[in-house]
Amino acid sequence: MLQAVTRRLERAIHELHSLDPRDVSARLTLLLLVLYGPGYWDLSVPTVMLAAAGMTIPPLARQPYFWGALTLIQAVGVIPRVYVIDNHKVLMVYWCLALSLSMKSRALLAHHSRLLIGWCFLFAAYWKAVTPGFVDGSFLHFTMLTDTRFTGFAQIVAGIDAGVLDENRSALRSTVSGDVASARLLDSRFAGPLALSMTLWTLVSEVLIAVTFLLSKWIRLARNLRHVVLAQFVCFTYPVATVVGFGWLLTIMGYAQTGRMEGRSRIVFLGLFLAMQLFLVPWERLVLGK
Amino acid sequence: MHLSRQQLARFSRAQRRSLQRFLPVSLLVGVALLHHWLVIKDGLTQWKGGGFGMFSTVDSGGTRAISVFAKCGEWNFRVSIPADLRGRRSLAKRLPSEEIVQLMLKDLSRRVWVVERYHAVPRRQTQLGPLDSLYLSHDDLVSAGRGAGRIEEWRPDSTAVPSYVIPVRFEAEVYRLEYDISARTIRRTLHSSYSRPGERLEIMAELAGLPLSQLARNLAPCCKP
Repeated sequence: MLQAVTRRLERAIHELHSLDPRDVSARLTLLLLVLYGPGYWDLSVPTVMLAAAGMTIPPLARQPYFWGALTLIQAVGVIPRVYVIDNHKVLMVYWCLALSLSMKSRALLAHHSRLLIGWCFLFAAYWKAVTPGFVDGSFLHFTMLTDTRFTGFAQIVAGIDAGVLDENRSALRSTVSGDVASARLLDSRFAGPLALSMTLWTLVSEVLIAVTFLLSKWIRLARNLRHVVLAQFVCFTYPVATVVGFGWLLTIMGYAQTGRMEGRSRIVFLGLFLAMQLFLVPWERLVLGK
Repeated sequence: MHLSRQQLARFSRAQRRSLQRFLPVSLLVGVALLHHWLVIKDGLTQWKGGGFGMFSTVDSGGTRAISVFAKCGEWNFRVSIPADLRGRRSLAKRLPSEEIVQLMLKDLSRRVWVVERYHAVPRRQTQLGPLDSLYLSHDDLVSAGRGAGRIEEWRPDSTAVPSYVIPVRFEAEVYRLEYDISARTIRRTLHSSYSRPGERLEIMAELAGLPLSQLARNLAPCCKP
């Protein structure tokens, strides 16, 4: 019985290893576009229609012109909104373009994935490093106390009461609207040190991702480390900041740039892609019963 | 220098190959550099604009605010932005450049305004009716406007409440949020302010075929009680 299960598992893993990253990346990207695509109807309607067609007729999703059409739709919708839309929606445009250019070459897809991840994290690390309010821990402290996406983490790990978070958000609204000139936020004794350690970890992780992905072609250590640093970043970032759309895009690009001999990394990225849905579970309600 | 057909073909193949290899990342870097320039020049929020500066500062679109005031004689009104301009306001909050804020003010300055609420101290409840075209005695004057906006009375000590308003000047103020971690305090600070003369009177004069000075005299004061 156990042997049969092990054999099946081994066969499944072998099949996963033998899948073409272009096929898997294309399918997962279509799912990403449907579930976490642009939130504007004029963009969503054609995107979902095309994505559904691509999922139903798999050979279609291997055609460069199919991805060219998706790129065009995304670009036409995103460009006029670039100053109000989230950055990962812009990254999706580059990713669709990369897919359209590299459907004929597996190596080219890996090349695009590495460069997009590397440069994206280089800019992300740069902005964090040059912003004094990030480096001193203020930003993550403020975010933990007010941002709804950090609710679960703030309650379970930082030990901040739900009522306190509500009060902070109300104080924030009053200050932004000008009803009061300033307001004091409430926190717990763990929030400060936690924010500072998260700040340090985020900065180091982002610099490492940028360096390892951009230098992986020339430096062996970077090549060997790149999957570990990206996977740990996804593992620790997205349960806290539940921006699953961005997390999914990173795992798809991470998966797409794995080499032939990097089967384990491929399975890790696929596992993270699936596990990320668990980050959307309202854990604070389940754990704390509130 | 003449290139043979073969050389030309080789050259275009090489170009196509490098385009294929570097187009997506070139776009990413180009947009991110433009974002950097706009952050410095026009105060674009680091969070938006394709520069990947999200989750680096408390100064996001959600923590910025833009307040618009309409000046008219000794009155100073707070303007509530009409629904059709919310997209423009949202953009102006995130990218408060002179051009974008002025574009929003221009649109506001061409409208006829009515008083929506009168803030009597300490109660803030008096709701005034919508625009009545009879005041203007010329249907075209109203229909030519791009819909009536709404205005909130600003001076709490006023007693005479105007019914409609033709502001002579509009002012916009963009606010940012600052967080002092040592004091655990958030504070709203003024980032920039912009102003633009009201254009409604000129539009009305043109439509009514009257000299501006005569219309201004007839409608003075610009806030009609």
